[in-house]
Amino acid sequence: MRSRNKKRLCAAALYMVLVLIAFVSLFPILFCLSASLRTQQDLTAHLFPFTIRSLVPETFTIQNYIAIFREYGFLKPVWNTVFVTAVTIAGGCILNALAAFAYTCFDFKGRTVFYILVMLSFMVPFESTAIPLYGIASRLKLVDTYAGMILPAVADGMVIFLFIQFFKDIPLSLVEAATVDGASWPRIFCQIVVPMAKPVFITAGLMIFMSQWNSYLWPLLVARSKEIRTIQIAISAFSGERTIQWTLIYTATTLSIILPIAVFIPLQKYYVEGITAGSVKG
Amino acid sequence: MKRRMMSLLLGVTLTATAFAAGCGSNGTNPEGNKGTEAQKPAQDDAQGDEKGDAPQASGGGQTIKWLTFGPGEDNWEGLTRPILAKFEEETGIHVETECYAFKDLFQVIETKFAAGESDVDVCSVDVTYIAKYGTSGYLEPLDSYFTEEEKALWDDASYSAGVWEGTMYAAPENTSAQVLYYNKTLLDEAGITLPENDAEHRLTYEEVAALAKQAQDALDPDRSKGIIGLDFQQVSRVYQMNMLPNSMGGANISEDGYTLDGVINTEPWINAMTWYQDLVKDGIASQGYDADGVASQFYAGKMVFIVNGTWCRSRMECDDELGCTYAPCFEGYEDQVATSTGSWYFGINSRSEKKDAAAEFVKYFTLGEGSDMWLDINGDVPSRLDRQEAIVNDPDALPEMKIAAYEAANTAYPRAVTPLFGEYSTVLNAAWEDVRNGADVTEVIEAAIDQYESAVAASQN
Amino acid sequence: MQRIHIKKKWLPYLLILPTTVLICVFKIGPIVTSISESVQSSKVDGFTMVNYKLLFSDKTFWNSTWVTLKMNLIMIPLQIVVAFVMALLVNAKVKGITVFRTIFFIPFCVSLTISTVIWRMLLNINDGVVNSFLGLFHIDRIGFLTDKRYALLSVILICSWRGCAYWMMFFLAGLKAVDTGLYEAAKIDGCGFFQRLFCITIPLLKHTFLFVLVANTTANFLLFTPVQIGTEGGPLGSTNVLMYEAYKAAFSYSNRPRSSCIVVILLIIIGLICIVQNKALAGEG
Repeated sequence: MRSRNKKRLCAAALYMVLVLIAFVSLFPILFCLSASLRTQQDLTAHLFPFTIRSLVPETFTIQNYIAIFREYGFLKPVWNTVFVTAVTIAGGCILNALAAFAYTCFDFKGRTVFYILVMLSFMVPFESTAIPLYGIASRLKLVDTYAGMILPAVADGMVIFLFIQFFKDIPLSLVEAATVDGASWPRIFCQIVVPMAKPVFITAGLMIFMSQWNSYLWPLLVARSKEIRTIQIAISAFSGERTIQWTLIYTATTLSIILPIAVFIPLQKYYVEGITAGSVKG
Repeated sequence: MKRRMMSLLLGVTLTATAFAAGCGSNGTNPEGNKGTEAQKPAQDDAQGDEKGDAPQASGGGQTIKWLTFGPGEDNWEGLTRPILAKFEEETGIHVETECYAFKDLFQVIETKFAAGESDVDVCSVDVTYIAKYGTSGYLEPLDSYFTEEEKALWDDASYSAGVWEGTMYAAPENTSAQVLYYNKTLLDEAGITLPENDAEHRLTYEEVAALAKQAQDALDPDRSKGIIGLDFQQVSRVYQMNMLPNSMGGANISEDGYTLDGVINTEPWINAMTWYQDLVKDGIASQGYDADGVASQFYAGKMVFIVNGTWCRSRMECDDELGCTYAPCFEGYEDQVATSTGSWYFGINSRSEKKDAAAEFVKYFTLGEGSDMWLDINGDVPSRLDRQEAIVNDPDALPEMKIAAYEAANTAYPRAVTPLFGEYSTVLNAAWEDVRNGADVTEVIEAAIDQYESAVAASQN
Repeated sequence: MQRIHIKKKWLPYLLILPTTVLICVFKIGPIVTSISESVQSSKVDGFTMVNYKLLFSDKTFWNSTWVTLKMNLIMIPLQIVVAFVMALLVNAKVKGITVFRTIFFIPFCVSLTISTVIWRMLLNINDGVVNSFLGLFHIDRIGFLTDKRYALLSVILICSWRGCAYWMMFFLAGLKAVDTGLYEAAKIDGCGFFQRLFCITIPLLKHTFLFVLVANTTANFLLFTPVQIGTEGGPLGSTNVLMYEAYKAAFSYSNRPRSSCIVVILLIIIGLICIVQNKALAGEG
């Protein structure tokens, strides 16, 4: 009897802690959503003293959403972000997978040297070289172009590494049998390797998605102009320009949160497997 | 089907390879051969899907890019639109604006110009940066574009501020002067009438602060409405904050422009900063809003007094009645009145490929019809002598314009002149913000001197 | 694993060409540029250490180094402990736990830029909802990002809100890999929860802890976004981390040599961290 009570107590305590952390995790996001659905006056008028009205609007309005698209042209940065991310994912998946395929399956002169390059780029985080990279991008006329945001993010040591880890497990005999049958290499890659590696492509895509969707310092340097900037830069600039129109800023942030959440919640498993692949077993 | 997929895949790979190879030829060799043939296709690829702004060959139908400040319809971006339309109508030159928030603009200029980008043709330049940009070769000398007669159309102070070491680098858009604005509706509600004052017998800052507090106590006793008593539009920016120490006789920087020691660790600075800090501590001046946010509070009718430029009236959003008078002085320093001045200039990118069109635009905006339109739209203090005279002679001119004309001629205090203005303003803007947030004044000043010193040492390397 | 030898000698080179070129241009290029810029000066011909000398004699640099270190010393243990506890919680086998797992993961979907923009508003001294809430307990308004006492802590909290969700997943993956049979055995032996935690779980997760420690340190040494958006290095330089100082040197002051020196120092630090990681993991066997 007593032990049952104790168990119940434990469970209750556990749920309390869980709810508390869930609250902290969700509060900023929910507050954004709620603030985006009210007018500026409604928001500031009810902040002090603190009541339930500080959190929940009196009347709901979608005026902010209309304004953010119509008057402040937020469709452009959203589109820019989606475009840049999509192209990087496509390019990154294909090129990194091809390279990983070569590193795993073939023996060739200088392999180690090239492989060290890959490992080096795996270890040196992108942010650390963004500032000196600006000079190079400027000489290549990449400033204020989509290519300026995409190209440096395509080749990624971490993604190559991920593909290599996976390709290692593909039985070589399968590949060899195909060569004996006279299949061409592109064919082997597309018909044998790729179908087996579907999950790892999803993982790699998500990893690239996250790094592009998150990047701030690099686009801040290379793509600041209105035509080209991504949502990260647009929102950061917007929050500096409209320092008191908070409901609009809350609206913009809400918009930028929705897509990654929609992508990541269903695909969470793949992503976690990808990033933790190296951490558990090494 | 599969074959098609394959060829598509290979195609993508090959294009990407060619693309990358093109870039590589330049990137691995950073010093040399700009714009080799190998790079060309990559460049076209990169920009092809972006926007069709292929440069046109001749005068008509040209597009120039103007890098400036103030994004948004209610800011420069929207306000200048009719001027740009008119300009295009007359000359056929299309001006594309690229607007950034105040603090971002300087970084963008620094980033682009230091890298020698040529995509920007005209650039808005804050007066204090002219020396720096001139020395660094960012700006094209304008002497060949403006005749002596044209130069004589601006007042001497405005013109000479655009000159550095004998070369004209920038043309004045307008100048500025400080006015003490007040929300008359709020003062009436609080039952306060402003004491008589004029240019010779100004209100003191101490008096204004006391009145502001009195108004706050009457209107917002428990401070729940967030009414601000007195504040500065350009809070935490040297442009306006330095007028406090200036009003006590403090200088902005040493004669040579390279040191703050002995300049800001002096009575006037310590006293002025302490006075301002107390103003914040007493809840009369605000905390947490930046320059744009502070001004918006006044425009929205939530502030009693503001020291602001003459554009204030055009930005008001509430229906409250607006009053204005001369900027205050400090008690005991009645003979040391100092007000901020100077404003934005136009410069031409020394790397621009459309300098003639750019110069035409600059002239239009600083001397031509565009200048007239701009002064009317934004209510700025003109740099042009004819427009200044018009204000003096016009009995119906707005009161703040009369005040501004007086201040410009009598109390305007020039800003620090140094080729290191970027460092100077970064260090001192932060110092003002720290003082505002309650940091120890002497500690702030010492830190600022140190930081500026090391910035100077680094720049002389 | 054995590899295939093929007749078409050029094929593997073609396959690795794009990524190799991109890595050379966009990764190795900037590293080489920073190193060479940091040892050159317009005043001196050839190799010189004058930039480093200047940097090392500069109080602002040492302050930034100290701030960066201090931030890491607080943030990393905090994030590791919180993330580990969160992982333990969502590893519990109770009803509805998958929902909580997903919720805990959500802050990670919000990028650091957006988190900073949001938290900057929530923590604002005038209209911030956090200050409004604290008002319930008669706590005076706090300048979370403008007061020297709180600014660094606030930056740490903003990063940790998102960071803990991320690192939690690593611990969770580690916990899942632990053989549950060990727990059962220990339970039968009468071991309590904490005994099991410290005697079985944590030692078994040594590898994960080490990985998170290293990866987290690397990431934090390059922290930039919350400082650029949230505090601009202030108040009184209390959040002026090295990355922000490098950024300011390059793009506010156009002082490339100074910025390059700082970048090189950061790269060296990261290199050292990687070496330590490899040593530690190798030693573990």
